[in-house]
Amino acid sequence: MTTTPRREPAAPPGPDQSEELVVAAQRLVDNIGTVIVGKTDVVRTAVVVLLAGGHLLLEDVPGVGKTMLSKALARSIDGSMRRIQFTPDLLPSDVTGTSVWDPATRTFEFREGAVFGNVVVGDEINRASPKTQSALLECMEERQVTVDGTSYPLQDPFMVVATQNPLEMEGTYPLPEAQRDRFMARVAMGYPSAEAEAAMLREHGGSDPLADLLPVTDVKQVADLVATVRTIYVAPAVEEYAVAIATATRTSARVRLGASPRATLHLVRAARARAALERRPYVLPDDVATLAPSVLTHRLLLSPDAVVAGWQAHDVVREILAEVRVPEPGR
Amino acid sequence: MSARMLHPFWVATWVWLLAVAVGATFVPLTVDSGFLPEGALGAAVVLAAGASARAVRGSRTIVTTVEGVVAVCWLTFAYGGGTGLAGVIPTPATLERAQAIGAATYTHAQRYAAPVPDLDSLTATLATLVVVLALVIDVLAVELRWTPSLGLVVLAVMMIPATLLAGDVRPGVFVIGAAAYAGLLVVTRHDDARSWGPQVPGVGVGSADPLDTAVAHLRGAIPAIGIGLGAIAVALVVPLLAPAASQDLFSGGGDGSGSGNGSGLANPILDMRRNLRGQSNDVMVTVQAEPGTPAPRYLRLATLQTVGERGWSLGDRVGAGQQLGDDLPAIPGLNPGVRTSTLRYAAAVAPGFDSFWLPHIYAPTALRVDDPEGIEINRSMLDITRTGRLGSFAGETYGFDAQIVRPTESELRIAPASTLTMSAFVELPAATPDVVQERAEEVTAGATNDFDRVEALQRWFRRDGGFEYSLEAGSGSGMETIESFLTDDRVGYCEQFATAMAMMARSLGIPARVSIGFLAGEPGRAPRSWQFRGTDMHAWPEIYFAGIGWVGFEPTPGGNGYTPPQFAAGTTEEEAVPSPTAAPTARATESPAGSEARGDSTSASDESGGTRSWRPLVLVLAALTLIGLVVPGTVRGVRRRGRSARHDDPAAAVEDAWAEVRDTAADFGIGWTEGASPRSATAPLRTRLADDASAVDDLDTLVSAVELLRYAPAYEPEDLSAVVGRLRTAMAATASRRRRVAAWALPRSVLVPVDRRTTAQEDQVLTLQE
Repeated sequence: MTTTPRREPAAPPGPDQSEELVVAAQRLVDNIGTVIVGKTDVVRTAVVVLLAGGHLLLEDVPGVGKTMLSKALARSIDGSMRRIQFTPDLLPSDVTGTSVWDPATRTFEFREGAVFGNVVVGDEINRASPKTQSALLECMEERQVTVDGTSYPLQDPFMVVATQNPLEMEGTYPLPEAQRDRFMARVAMGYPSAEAEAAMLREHGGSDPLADLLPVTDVKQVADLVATVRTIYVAPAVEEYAVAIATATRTSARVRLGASPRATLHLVRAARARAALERRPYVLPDDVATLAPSVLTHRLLLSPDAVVAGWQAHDVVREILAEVRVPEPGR
Repeated sequence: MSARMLHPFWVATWVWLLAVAVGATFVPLTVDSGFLPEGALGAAVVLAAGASARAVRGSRTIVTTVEGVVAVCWLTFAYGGGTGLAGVIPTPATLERAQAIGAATYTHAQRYAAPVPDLDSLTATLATLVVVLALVIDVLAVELRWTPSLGLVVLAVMMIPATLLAGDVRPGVFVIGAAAYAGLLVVTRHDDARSWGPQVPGVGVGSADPLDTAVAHLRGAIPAIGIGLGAIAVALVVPLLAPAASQDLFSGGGDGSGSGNGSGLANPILDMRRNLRGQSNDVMVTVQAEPGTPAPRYLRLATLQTVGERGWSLGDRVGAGQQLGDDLPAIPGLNPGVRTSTLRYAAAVAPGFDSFWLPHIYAPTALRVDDPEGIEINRSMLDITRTGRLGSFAGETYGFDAQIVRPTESELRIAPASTLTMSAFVELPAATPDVVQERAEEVTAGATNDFDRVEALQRWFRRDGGFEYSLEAGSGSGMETIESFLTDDRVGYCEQFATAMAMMARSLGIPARVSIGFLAGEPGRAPRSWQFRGTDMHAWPEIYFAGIGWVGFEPTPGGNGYTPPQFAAGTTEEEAVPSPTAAPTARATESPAGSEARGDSTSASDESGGTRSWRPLVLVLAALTLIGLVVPGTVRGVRRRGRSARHDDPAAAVEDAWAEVRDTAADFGIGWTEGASPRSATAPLRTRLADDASAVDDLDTLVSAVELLRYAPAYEPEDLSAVVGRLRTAMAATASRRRRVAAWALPRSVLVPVDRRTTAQEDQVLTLQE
């Protein structure tokens, strides 16, 4: 098996540079905001996931702008964007790529699949067969594709933005737990407010909003941003807090399957990104608490009793947040 | 055994001390304080069991159950009278016995006013009280961590004896109780400090230096110690400011130093002691004599028959009484031939004098009362009482006739030896010191008849024995007191003189008893009326002469010139109208220092008799209210100063600033989400201050300082005292006037523990997080 060397992560930038990067991240948020009107929180979470080096799952009913958000995010970065429309007959090789016989060179040549891009938009991911869905697994976690014993590294930065309809919609395959766990965060778009919807009609009624969207940052800058985020300080108390929240999901009577250690990792990474976005060189418990619903809810399996009682994962996380005390190291 | 395992025993020691101190406040209620050691032992057993359960980390339920079971077993063992299975497991018979004990105690308490004579049931009840108190204190303070509210329980229990004794509380017991309570506060505060108590520099996460911890605990205890000392000081000083109560708390120190107001006379000797020592100037009885009748003297309340090891008491009187009918019982021992005179008086008991004994002059031959219901006259003693349920004689107006024997000396000398029926009046306890009989024989050597012997005894006490009158001497008529009175000290007051003489007479085989009442009154405002006050109370021995009956003697020195038989003396013309000099001299016998004080309050004392009995209670309540009002505010002030003063550690100063703002918010009723992050916690406050931009800035400064300190890699703390000051002002500005007063007088931050202070709703928290 041969491995093509991957690009090393960028060295942490200096203070001046990081200020510039934060400005760039803010520009990103603002840029996407021109397309997705009135959904600042969702946009910010999307950017947070990008900066934390994670993957994003957008889940909501059709027509609220899931695809628009993922495309806007991709377009705002001056990098390669690939889009996969998941359908029941989509094959795994369509996603990863395949080796084809080249008569000219008389060798098998690797044709890259749709996953080879900086931002990969997986539309309606739960419409694909489980087999195809799981083809994304390796890509998302390992950031590489292995075909015929050869590993091909994916682009850096690499982010999967998947959209899906709620499971009860017709013609969907539920996403396996293992794959859900690989998404750093799941956000629901929600319907826009009346004003935002009216503004959307005014501005985009006649044209494709994405056509006007220009990139505001490039791949290099995003990679630097991701590196910067890794330098954000996390106090032991904040780590304790994240662990306490994760532990609480595992011990809660309402939950059948709690958050995995990877979830805790994702939570802290996302919190770092949020801190960076707020120009803070350290993480606050508020960062963790704010992101916990997005990061945790899609990983929890509620107990049958809780389901019957009408609980949703979101409610459970809210309850846990209200109960877990924030460690106060000074006291 | 590790320190962690020893800790519960240390806490239990304080609980025990507090329970015993509270129990000790009941001691003045009884003649016998035997219940206290018994209760203390039981409490120790119960607490030791609880502490052991705690040392092995038993849960709250287990510890409480263990203590409860041990308490029940102990009580069954100690007071079940063998009704329990294996002596300790209660059976239905045990329950019946408990009911019987309770009923007996109730009856006893109804019959006698404090101090109540001995009774096994009473001892059992009070010892049970101590054990139950220990249990309750332990559960409240240690298991439920309600030490502050426990103060109310302790207070309520301590109020019982304080009310019954009309404020006659021993300062020593109070100080011990307060100290034990403060100790318990400190000990339980240590427990809290481990989790949520105020942090002290150097005792952060991961600091396990025991010295630091000890210093932290000591520092944490300073406010508690300060408050404790302050409260004790207030409690001791406030009564001093009230003239009526000043001597009550301080004059005696031992038992029997109360004002005597409103106290009953069920056990007359003890009440007399109290009245004499308390120098009570209240008019207790007013007697009006018919024209031609001499001034009333030796106004008797009751007569003590029995002498036991602890002194004289009423004795067993069951069945000896008869209901008040047309005829009073015949005068015991009086033969028709003896000269007597009958005197007629009208009398009134002051409303404040809660006597269960009707004042009269021996021997009563007729009694005129409005309502004879329940009035009982003792056939042997001829003293008049009313059963407790029907109330005391306070405020009673009545008339009585008294037949006074006027035997000649020769009649007394030739009186035959007492008949066998008088055997009860020559009994002495086995523990009677030998000195009683030795001295009696020594003094009466050469006397040929009982009268001469008794007169010799009286002379010895009054003149030859070198006795000295003093109210400051030890009280009581117990064997030890009498022994030292007769040998070394020879200092005492009427109680010792009377009882010692009666015992010496008994040791010679002469029937003797001791009467309690009033010596002589002073002229009242109405013509031919005399007023008897607390300071006039007196005890005198009476000697039985066959054929003549009981004749009073006066062994107490003081130059009042009484000579036996003094009942006859009252009829002579020169003493019919008390001379101006005679009355004060007589009074000086009882109260050498009391004469001046009496003159001042003569006019006021009539009305005050009824109202004064409430005064100690009102004073106690006022003092408690004062403490209640002063202590929380003081604690708050001490905390605030402690926080602003601690600038040696900048990090601690930031946390102090944070805690100060948190407490201020609590004081002003502004929500504060405990356990949330600094931003979320202050969200309600931010909303409250929204109109004041500079205050919001200050809040941001504070929040970000706390965040930096707690969560940032490095932080240079800044001085936040100005910020805190401005925030306090801004918060006060948003509060109503009432709220501000409440924040000052009853700060919520002091009254409610920090982890129970959460007021912000869950929704508020979550709104902020999203």
